[in-house]
Amino acid sequence: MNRSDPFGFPNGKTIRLLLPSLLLALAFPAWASLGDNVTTVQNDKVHMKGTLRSVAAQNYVKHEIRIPTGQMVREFVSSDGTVFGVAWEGPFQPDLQQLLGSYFEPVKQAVAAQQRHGHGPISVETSGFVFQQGGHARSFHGRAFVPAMVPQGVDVTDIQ
Amino acid sequence: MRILRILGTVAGIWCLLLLAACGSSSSSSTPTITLVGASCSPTSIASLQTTQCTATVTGTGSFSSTVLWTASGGGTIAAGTGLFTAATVPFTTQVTISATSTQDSTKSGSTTITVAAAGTVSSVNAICAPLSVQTGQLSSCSATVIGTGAFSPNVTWSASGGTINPISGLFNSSSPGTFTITATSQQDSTKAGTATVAVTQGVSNSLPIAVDGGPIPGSIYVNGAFVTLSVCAPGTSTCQTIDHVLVDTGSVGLRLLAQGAAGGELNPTAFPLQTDTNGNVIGQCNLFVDGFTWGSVSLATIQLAGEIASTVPNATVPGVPIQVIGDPRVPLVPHSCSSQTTGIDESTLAGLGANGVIGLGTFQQDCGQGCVTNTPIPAEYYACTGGNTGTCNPTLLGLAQQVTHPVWVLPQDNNGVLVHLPSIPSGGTTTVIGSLIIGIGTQANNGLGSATVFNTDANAYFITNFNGQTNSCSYIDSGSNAYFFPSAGNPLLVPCTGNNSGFYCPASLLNLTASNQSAANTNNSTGSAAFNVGNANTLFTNNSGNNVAFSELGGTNAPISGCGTSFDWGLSFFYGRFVFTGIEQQPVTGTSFVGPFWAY
Repeated sequence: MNRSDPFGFPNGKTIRLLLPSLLLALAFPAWASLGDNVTTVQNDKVHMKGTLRSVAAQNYVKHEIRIPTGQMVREFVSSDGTVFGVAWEGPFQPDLQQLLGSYFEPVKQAVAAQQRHGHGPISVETSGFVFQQGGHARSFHGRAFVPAMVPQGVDVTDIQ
Repeated sequence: MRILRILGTVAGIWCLLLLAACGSSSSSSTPTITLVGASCSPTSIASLQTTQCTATVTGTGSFSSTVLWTASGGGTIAAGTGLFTAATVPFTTQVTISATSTQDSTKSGSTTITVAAAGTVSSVNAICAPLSVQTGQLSSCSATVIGTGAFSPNVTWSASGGTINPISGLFNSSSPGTFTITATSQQDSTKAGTATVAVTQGVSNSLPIAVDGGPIPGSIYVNGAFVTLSVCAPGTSTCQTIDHVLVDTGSVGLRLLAQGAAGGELNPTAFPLQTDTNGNVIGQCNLFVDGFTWGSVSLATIQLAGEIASTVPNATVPGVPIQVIGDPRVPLVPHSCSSQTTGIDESTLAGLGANGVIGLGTFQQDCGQGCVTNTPIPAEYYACTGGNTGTCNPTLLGLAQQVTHPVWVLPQDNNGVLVHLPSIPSGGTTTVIGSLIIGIGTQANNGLGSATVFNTDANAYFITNFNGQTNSCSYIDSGSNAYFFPSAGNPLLVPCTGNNSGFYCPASLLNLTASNQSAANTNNSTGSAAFNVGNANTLFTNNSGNNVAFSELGGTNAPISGCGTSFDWGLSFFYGRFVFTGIEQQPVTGTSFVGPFWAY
């Protein structure tokens, strides 16, 4: 499967995108979601084969995707429909390329640039984004958000 | 009132009373107690029998003859009557009866009575199990006392060497030899029973740890604890010695870098590849929080000092599953592995900073049931076909085939590890030598001592309270190279700017304290932990940048989904401490402790 698909998406995904009910998704990059439109939450749900539960909070909506293999992904969407933060936890890491979208490569570069002199939890803050991941074997957790996109009045400690 | 005897006068009336006042009011002087005496009749009784005690109170004026009775040594005495009832005593016992004036508690009198044991001890049998132990291991001894009547079953333990708990009968010895264990009747010291325990020298279980900056010339691995170990092809004496393997209590299983492109030391040729029931070769994408390692799962006999891990429960092939990172015998890293994480590829010497990692955490396997009964997980185990140019797809894998805790599968000393590093100077230092000791409470060198044991939850977390914040997902991790924790609003804990931004750079050294406690619904331990955090930019430039070990290095840590925040007690914590990591379901003999736990 991976051999024929440079993005690593299951073949089933291509078929699903042709379904009329999901045509809207074609307007957005298939790899979502940080910084993208709320519709990409559905893409993540499909990609991760998860179940979705959405909870409205003041100033934002929290979309929780529960993945059958035990992870929980949370995407935080502002009233204008922007995914301004994502968080994850569970025994395995979720597909962060899917979750961070266009931020994946910049985050990766920022993580690689940080001098760590060894191993440990990651915490990277740039003017454009914040990325943090911690935990240990069998229990990972992390989050990423775009400070400029966080709605006024939202405490960034809620992004978890 | 029983007796009133006038003995004569000096300055008033002398009288002998038990319960009432002397009765005289003829004196105008202040009532005074001059003497209290006590006697009992008979003076010798058997267990459970009674004797009548009386008090003699003398004094002047209108004094009170009331006394307070006490008995020490076994038995009770009635306050109103002075009637003493003996307890069942294990052997002939002297009981002291005291009468103290209630008017003047400085005046008292006492007498002794003899209480005889109620039964007779005829013999004592002692047994110990096991009868053969290694140095430091416990043998549990018990005694059977045989006798007639209401004899005492109590014994006192002694041993011809080593140490034995005189009450519990738990015996061990730090030196080899044959030892006689004796249980002596407490009632009749002429009756005793013996057992013989043979103590043989324990397996060598101590490996030196070097915190030496790591294996890469010109590059310093800060706070990396490294050991040297050997791996052998299963069932052979074809072994290789690998140095600079990182000691990591935050992961599970041995991972060694292959020679060649990966830049490691291990030549994997002699080590069989793990296969599934369809004959597919097993690959693994192992995710750390900061990167991934890709390679094969292979089978090896692991030697840690004198400890040899050669097989795994329920496995059909010999050898312990390890990861061979960068193994050229399997395909290159699948995209589903490398795309999963923002961390770096740690499948090379430059990426890993070590020739391998020995995961000695609380789990028995690196993945566990999540890889057995789940749907196949990307970025964990893979089934590979087609040789090293073929393909790999995510697969489930049984527990016996997963990368396994090398200590858990040892024939002895298999309940955990002790990591000890000596204290180091403020500001950091060059090479530090410590110890990795296999087993907990199994030999003379790995006892828990006064350490506090903190049981963890199912995710290997306990609780750290710092600066008013409860960090419910906290852990002790020798593989993290600093204290990583949220500042919890402490304005002095300033993150560094620039390339060291993951670390703290306070203006001056901070003396901090946190308290740790067991995970909820476990063994309810608490304990404080003092720690210092210095300026990372300064620490890294001290001693012309040559220091490699720092007890004052701290960094930031993220909020966690679900359980709040996390305090990662990394290697900075280990200097000057003895830190134990207990494996899940494994008990510590002679204690009530069962892993998973940390103790320090």
